[in-house]
Amino acid sequence: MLARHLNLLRAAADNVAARPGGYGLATLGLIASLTLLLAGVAISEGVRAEALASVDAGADIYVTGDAFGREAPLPRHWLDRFAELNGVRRVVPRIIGRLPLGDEIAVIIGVPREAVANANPPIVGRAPASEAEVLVGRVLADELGLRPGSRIALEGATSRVFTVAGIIDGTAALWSAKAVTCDLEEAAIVFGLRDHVTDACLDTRPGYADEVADAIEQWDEPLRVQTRTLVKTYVTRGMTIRGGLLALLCLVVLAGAIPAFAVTTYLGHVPRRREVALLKAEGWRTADVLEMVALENALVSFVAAGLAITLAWLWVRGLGAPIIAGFFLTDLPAFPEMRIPARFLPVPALLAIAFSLIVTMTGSIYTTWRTATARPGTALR
Amino acid sequence: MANGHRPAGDGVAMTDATRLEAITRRYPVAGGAGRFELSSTTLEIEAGSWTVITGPSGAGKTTLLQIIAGLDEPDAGRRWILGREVGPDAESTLALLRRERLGIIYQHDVFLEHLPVWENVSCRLVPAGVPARERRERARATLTELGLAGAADARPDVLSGGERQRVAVARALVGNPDLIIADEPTSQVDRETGALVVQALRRRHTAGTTVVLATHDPALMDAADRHLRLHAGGLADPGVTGAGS
Repeated sequence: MLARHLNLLRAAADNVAARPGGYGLATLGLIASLTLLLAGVAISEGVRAEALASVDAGADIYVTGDAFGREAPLPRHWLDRFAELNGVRRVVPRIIGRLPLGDEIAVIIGVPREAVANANPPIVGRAPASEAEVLVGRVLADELGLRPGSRIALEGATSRVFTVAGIIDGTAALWSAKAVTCDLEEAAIVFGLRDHVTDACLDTRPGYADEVADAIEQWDEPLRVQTRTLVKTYVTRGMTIRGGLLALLCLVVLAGAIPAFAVTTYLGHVPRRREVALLKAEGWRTADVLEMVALENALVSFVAAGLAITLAWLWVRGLGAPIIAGFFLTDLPAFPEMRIPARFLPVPALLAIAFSLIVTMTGSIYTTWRTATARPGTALR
Repeated sequence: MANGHRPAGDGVAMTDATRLEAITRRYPVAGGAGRFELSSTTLEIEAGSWTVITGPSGAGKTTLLQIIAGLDEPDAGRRWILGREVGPDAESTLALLRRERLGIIYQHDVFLEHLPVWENVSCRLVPAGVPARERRERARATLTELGLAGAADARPDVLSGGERQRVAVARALVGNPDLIIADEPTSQVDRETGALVVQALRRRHTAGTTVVLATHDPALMDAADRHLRLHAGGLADPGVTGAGS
């Protein structure tokens, strides 16, 4: 009976095409909500993947000071003790803070210059050759009109003037987008941290990370130790909260879309009821009518989901995710000129199709059933 | 489909006749509810007959035709359509009967306005799985019989009232039905169109099709071999036999 199904599919397509007002409006509503959902999920997944990759590429252990249960600067004298622990290969001290720069808030990252060389980020210009030179993130450089050779002043506890040696390219990790990377000692001067750093990154030999972390914790000193596993947990939890907010938003949209679909598609309206009554009077069974309406819904769902997938891809990949990127990445402008990490996975695409099927099928089930099971004679009078 | 003899529910041999037994049905009329009642009578429409139903407005002509066509359900009583007993739960049976053996011309003009005429005419063939090309050919052949070959691809809303009525007749005839049920088929058309409709119905009747129609058109009444008059919710007709007789 393939011919029967094909006939019903064609009838369904004719019905959808014949009602551009109702079905068009319903489809546009679905496309809008699905595009938002898919773009959001893609960015969420991309940011999560990039964050986890950064954690993987980073240190094995991060140590900060602890004061009153909160993170605090780490006295420098601990750095030598960390380096003496069995299994520790390298200790990289960092000073990280925020300072106003022009109309922006810049993230200041002070690290030993050799650590920058080791990280080897993609740079337009060159790496700093002295403590008087810095690297600037792409977004910050664009916002402030900076380029290699420009001069900037960091004004904290002490003011220091630096020369921009290079711009960290826009394809680099998004964490560097608004960063100013400078020499550790210069950052210490700017922030007034003569005897402290904000944290220490410990690289360990394979298999020693937990042992080193345990050893530091057993000193029973005001130190806070975070292993790579723990940092990954924090990153994942942070993205899950944002993803959950997005899912909540989608649930609200879903709740509103179902009755909206029922109203806009005219399934319960008199002309449509008369059409269905005519079909039944001409020998269509209730099952035939239900299948035709289900196929109408499926067509709308697949078209809406297909267009939403395309539009989400264009929004994120083609346009750089304007507006929505700021929901997942704080401090981004509405129209970011940097690469926004995004991953378009098959599961969200399938979920989008399922989402639209739920909306269309649920939105039409009552009116369709009522129309399809009514006595045709009543509607044809 | 050829008319023939079929077994009836109670082991009684029954032809392809349509039979209503002790039927009661309340129905809406302007200003209240009407009541159609054959509670003490049995109405039998012989296969191959031409039956005309007349009566004043609100007498229940449309209700009676809809019960015969299976478009409406009686509140009480038994019903056989083309020799087959059809109860209130026989939705699939009724659908199949209407699709394969009945042709219905409705009182009001009702179409799938977004589809071309040929799709309207052949819409009963869609769930039967008849391919589009064959549906189109069969619709065109029936439309040609009614002088509407050129209108096959037009949409119903561009047709005149008379053309629309002929399309409605073509829709009833396309499946070569055994029973045609028509509700005032010529009431809203000019004399020329009415004549075309009458001709088409007569041709089918001559070929053995049973015709039941409600009308006040003399041309259709003249062809009748039986005349049922409805009044005050009941039948006043010498052809109606008492129950059990």
